[in-house]
Amino acid sequence: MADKDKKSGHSPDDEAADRERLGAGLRSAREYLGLSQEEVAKYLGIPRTALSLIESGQRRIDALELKKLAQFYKRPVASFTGESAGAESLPEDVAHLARAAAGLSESDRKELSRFAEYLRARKNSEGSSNG
Amino acid sequence: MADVRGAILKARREAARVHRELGMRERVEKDGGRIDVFGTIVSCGIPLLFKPLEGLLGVFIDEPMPGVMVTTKRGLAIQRFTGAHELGHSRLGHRPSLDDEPTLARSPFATAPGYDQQELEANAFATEFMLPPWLFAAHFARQGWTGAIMTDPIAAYQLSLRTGASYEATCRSLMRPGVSVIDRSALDNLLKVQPKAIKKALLGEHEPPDWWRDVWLLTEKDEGAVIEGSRSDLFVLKLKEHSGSGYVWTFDELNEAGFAIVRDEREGPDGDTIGGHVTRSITTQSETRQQGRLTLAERRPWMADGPPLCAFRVQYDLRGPEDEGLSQAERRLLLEAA
Repeated sequence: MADKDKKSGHSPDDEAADRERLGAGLRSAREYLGLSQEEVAKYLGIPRTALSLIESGQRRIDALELKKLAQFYKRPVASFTGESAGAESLPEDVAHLARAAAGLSESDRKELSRFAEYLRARKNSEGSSNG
Repeated sequence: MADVRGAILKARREAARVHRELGMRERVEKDGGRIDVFGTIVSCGIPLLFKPLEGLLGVFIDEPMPGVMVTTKRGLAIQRFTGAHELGHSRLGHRPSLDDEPTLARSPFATAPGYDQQELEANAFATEFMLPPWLFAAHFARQGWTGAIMTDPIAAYQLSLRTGASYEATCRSLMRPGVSVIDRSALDNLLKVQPKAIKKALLGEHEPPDWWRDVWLLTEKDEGAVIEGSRSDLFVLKLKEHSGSGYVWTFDELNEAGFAIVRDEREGPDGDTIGGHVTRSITTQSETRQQGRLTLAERRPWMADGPPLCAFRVQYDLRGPEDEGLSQAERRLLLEAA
C-alpha cells in the first residue's frame, strides 16, 4: 500500500494535507458569502456535522458534492484548492482609483481585492458552465 | 461643469426602463411597500455582496464582470440608496467607482462645481429608481396624504419609512422636478428637524436604548400593508377602539409573534360617551429579527370565539439592515432553488 502511494507520488500525508486545503478553501468560500453551515448542508442534502467535517478536512467530499458546491458558490472547483489563485491584484482602472482615493483604509483595500478576486472566479465559473 | 439636466433625464429614462422590465410599478401599487433595490440588482445578474467597508459606502466594478459591494456599517436606508447608486453605475455603462459618503450625499438636483458627471447620473438614477413619482402617489392614496400634509415632519418621516429612503433623501425628493409636492421653504423647514426629534414626538415617554432605530406610526390606513424595516424598529399602533360597545383590541398575537409591548394607553374621548370610541395606542417592538404576518382583532372579551368587529393585518419583514455576504434576496433565491 505504502509502495503504491510512493509510486504515484502521493502519500497518505499528502492526501490529508490536500483534503485540509480543499476543506479550508470551501470554508472560506462559504464564509465570504455569509452562508451558514446549516444553509449549505441543507442545499447539499447532508447533515451539518458532515459539512463541518469536510471543511476541517476530516471527511472526503465526493465529486458530485464538490460540483454542486462549486455551482452554489459560483466558483470553479480549482479555486477551492488555490490552484487558480495568485490573483489578489485589482483590475487596472480599479487599482488606479484605489491609489487616487487617498483615505482608503487598508481593510477597505483588502475588501476590494477580495471582491475583484470573487468576480474573476465567478466569471470563470459562469464561462465554464456555459461552455 | 456637469450637465445636471442631461444627467437627470438620462437617469429618469433608465430608472423607468428598469421599473418596466421588472413590472415593479404593478407589484408595488398592488401590495404597497417599496422598491426592491437588492432584488433588482440580483435580477439584473449583477453579483452583490455586503462587506464591512469603513470609508466607502459602496463600490462598482465593471471588469471582468459588473459587481456591486455595499457596506454593512450603515442602516438599511443608506444601504438601499447606495445599492441603487451602484446599480445606476452599472445600468448607465459607467466606469468603476469607489463611492464615499460625500459622493452619495450630494443632491443630483443642485449644481455643484467639480461634480463628476457619472456620480451625478448615478445619484439621479438612485433617486428616480427608489422614489419614482408613482410610488409617492401610491402611498399618498393609501394614507390620504396631500402635499400640504407633507410639510409636517412626522408625515414626511412616515413616508420615508414606507419608501425605504432616508428622511433627508425623501424630503429633498418631494421638491424635485417632476414631483414638486413641497416648495423650497417647506423643504428647509423639514430639514431643520432632526429625525430623532420626530421619533421622540412619536414615542412620548418611552425612551429606547438608542435613537438609530425607526419608529413607525401604524393606523387603519396600513391595514393589509407590507412593512419592511429593521430588526430593532418600534411600532406605534393607533387603532380606533369601540370600547363603549364593549369591543377591545387584543394583542396576544403580538406577544406570540415575538413582539414586546412597551406602552399601552387609550386616548379620548373626554368624559363617558356611551357607545363611543377611543383610540387605543400601543407601542411595540420586535425582539427578534424576523418576518411574518400578523392579524389583530377587536372583540368583546366575553365573546372571544365570535367574529371580530374589526381586524388589522400586516405583513412584516424586519430583517434589515443587510449582514455580511449575499443579500437576503439572493440567499432566498439560492436556497429556494436547492
